[in-house]
Amino acid sequence: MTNGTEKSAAAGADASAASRARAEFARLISYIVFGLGSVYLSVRASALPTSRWEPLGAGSFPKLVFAVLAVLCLISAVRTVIDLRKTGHLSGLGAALAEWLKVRRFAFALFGLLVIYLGVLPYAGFSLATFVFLLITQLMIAGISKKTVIQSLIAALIFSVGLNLLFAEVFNVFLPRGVLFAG
Amino acid sequence: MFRKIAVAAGLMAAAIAGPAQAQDYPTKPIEFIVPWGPGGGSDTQMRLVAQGLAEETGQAVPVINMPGVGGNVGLAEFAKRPADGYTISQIHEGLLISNGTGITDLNWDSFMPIALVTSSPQYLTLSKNDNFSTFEEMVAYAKEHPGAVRAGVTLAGVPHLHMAMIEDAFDIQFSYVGYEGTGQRIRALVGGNIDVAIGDVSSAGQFVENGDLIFAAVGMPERTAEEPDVRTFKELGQDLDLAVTRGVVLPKGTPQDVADALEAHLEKVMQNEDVRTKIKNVGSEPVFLGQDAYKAYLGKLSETVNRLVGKLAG
Amino acid sequence: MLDAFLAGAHQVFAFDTLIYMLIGSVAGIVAAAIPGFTVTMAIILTLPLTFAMDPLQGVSVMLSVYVGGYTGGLISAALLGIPGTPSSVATTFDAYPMARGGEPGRALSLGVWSSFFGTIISTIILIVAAPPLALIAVKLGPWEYFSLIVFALTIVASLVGNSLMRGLIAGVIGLGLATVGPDPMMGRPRLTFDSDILMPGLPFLIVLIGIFAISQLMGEVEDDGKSETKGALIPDVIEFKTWAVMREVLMHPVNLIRSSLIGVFIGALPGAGGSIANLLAYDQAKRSSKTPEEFGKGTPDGVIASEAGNSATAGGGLIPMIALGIPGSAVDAILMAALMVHGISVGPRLIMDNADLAYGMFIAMIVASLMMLVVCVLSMRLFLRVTDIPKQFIVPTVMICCVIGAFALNNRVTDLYLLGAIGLVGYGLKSLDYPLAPLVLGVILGPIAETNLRRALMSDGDWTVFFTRPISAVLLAAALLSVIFSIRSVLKMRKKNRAVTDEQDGD
Repeated sequence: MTNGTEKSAAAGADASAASRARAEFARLISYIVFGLGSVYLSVRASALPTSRWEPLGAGSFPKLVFAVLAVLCLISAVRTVIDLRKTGHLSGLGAALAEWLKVRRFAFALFGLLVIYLGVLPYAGFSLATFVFLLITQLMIAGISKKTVIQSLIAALIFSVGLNLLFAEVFNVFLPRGVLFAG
Repeated sequence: MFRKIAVAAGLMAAAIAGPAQAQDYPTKPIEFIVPWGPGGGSDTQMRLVAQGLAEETGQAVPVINMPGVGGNVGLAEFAKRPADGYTISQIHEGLLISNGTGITDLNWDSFMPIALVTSSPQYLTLSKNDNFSTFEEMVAYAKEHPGAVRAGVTLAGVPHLHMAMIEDAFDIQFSYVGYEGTGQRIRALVGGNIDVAIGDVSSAGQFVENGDLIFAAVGMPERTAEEPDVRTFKELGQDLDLAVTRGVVLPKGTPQDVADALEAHLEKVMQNEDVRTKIKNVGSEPVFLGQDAYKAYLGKLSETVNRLVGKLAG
Repeated sequence: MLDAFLAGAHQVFAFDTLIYMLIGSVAGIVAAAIPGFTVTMAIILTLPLTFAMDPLQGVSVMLSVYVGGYTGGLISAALLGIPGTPSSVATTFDAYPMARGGEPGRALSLGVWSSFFGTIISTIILIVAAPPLALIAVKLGPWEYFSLIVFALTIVASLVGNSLMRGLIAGVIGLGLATVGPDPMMGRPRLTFDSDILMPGLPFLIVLIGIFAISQLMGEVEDDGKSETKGALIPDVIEFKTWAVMREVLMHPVNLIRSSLIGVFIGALPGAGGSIANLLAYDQAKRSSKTPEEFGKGTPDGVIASEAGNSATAGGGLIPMIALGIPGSAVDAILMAALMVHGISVGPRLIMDNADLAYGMFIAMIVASLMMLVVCVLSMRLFLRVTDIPKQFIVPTVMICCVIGAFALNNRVTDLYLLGAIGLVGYGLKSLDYPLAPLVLGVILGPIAETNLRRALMSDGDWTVFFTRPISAVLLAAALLSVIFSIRSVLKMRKKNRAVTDEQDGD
């Protein structure tokens, strides 16, 4: 083996160790979040009223569950901290987070659109909201060109107005109609 | 799309022209919010009523199941719907109890009761056990051993109210085990995991016929046609009315003429032989009480619930 | 008996009944294949139609929807990695990797044949042993149910993927999520923070769609800079080898029969159903396999176990209904309602009083599974076309279907907000390499465990009853054994892994 390959292999191992450490760090945060959340919910649950009909009240089971969750998160967090201290390097967190977000930009954009869609749905009604949502998401994923615009328009029309008509007329299932067309 | 716009335009025009004339009611489909899940007693019976109403009016009456929190989610949504007669819903004893125990602020008078349409007679049902096999033996045993008789109920639900009524009237005490729904209770009763429960003919009738369970008493003013051998509570010395009654309601503020039109339609539906037979088939009794009679009934029921609700709150 | 059998057969084999059943079968498969749409929904839609049919005809149509629905979930599980129904969660574990590995046709065929055999086996058990099995099922009290759920929870170990600890955390989060909403005993709100959105609780189906479908769809549009991201989801190598795959399925008789039996027993217990059976069957197949490390990478055994297991709950679920008139699930309750409307009382005397109907239902089950098989085999090429559709259409459209399904479940707008929130949580958990199946298992099992624990203690305040009732004690012992077994296999795996990493480090 030449000196050069050895060096790059070592660098690769280094980089993967660093990325593993970063992933572990992200998980550590999740353990802490879940742990604190479960402690809070466990306390909330123990404040629930007891019942005269039964030995276990409404709060007992959730209290138990969230207490177990808190313990599990504590153990995991401690183990992760020990691991991180052993392996050491936690460099470039900010850059890694930026890269992580960049890879997932479409995923988050899609989710953002979904949230807006769900929020608007009860007001704009199913057909209109769905049409706009489908059109935007399709063009976002496929990119804008004459062909994709026409395809997306057709697909969006079928799956918004078409689906709504199918459900309302054939199945008698009424999707949100919205307040724009009072009815 | 065009059709939709046309419909919307039509609606707007109608809205501008003022509320639709009641003698034309209904001029479009009536949505029937059933605040319970599919497959249960309310769902099945209301689907039959809805089908009859659709035949009667010539308009579709789609049933929309909106279950959650003992019927309260659907009713809360229903209360927000426009009071134009094109959304109707259904209530039963459970609403009054939920109100009494503080689970919901809605009560029967938050709506406009139109007609009581079905009434399901409830039977006090005993499991096969060594300690008692008739009503009197059960009462005697329960008096001797307070709290030893295990009763399956939906805690803070209609069966719980019925059991509390029996406790109150015969001065006995049960211990309670919580179940969700009649099917579960009857299963537990057959399996011997509880001793008494409230049952009905559709879920327990065959077990009684088979000798696995015993109908000890029925909570109706008179003996029922299905189980003529089962005595009423009146015959046993206390006049208890243990029925689950289901009625159609409109949102508060609906024009009176629309309400009257719906009442008239429902009256005809409840005379329809096909609807009557099918409702009997699913273990209930088709009845009809119009707006005033239904309101009076609910008012009286409300008194009973308020008197006993302290026994239900946990 | 023969008379009744012939009378039943005569009614089922009427031409119009068969046509309706065919339509029902297609409807069930399609409804289940679309993530978010459920079999229950399809059956509710057929309910009013059956009011106008003969009782047996109506029930036969519903049964064909039912059987089709237990298979349809496989399609999106295999092709999109999204369980089409709650009962096909375990199918995603192996059918999806297999499809992604270039064998989508084989994955589908395996699933279809396993479903077919699972349904047939369960129907045979239904015919032969319904009354005694139903009697056992009905004797089980809250103690046995609780112990059974404790046992079922131990299968989390088989679903954890890379880290046991994160699997456990996910499972417990699932248990915790299920406690939000009305308390199952008293109906009083708990942990809802006075929010209208949380008031009705987190419906299991919303969690399932949010956790699996939304996160998977978001994952589809991640852009890691590699080229093929904008193309089709699956390479277009289409090979079915229908008969070869049938032989392949039959070459795993032990797995097939064990999974079907699990499906039948779980199905026969009111309240449990297909959503647990597929996971339990998968767990058992993995544990008894000689190559457990292949599970999750596209092994045929995983597909067979899950699909045979969930389809067998179809027959299993009918056991308490036909033998005792006790519905085990919402679907059974609707079936019963359809019969009762026609004046047929369903109960322990059904087989005696309406023998032709009972036998007719058995025959209808078999006919329905044959129809399912034929429809699936003929239309598989069509379903595979789904994989040719470019991502820009499939991802948003499937998302819309999820939204419709989530709404149509309870007709509640607030459920949609929950769907969005849970979808984000699911995506976050997935990104952090938490296994998602344990969470869903927790959400399914949590309420059953809690309700039965509380019910047991209401019936008898004595804790020791859990150990003195024989079936309960056996189940608890099985749970203990299962935990010991899991710890052993985790330790073994860890040793193996350490050996591997040591080698790498030494390189």
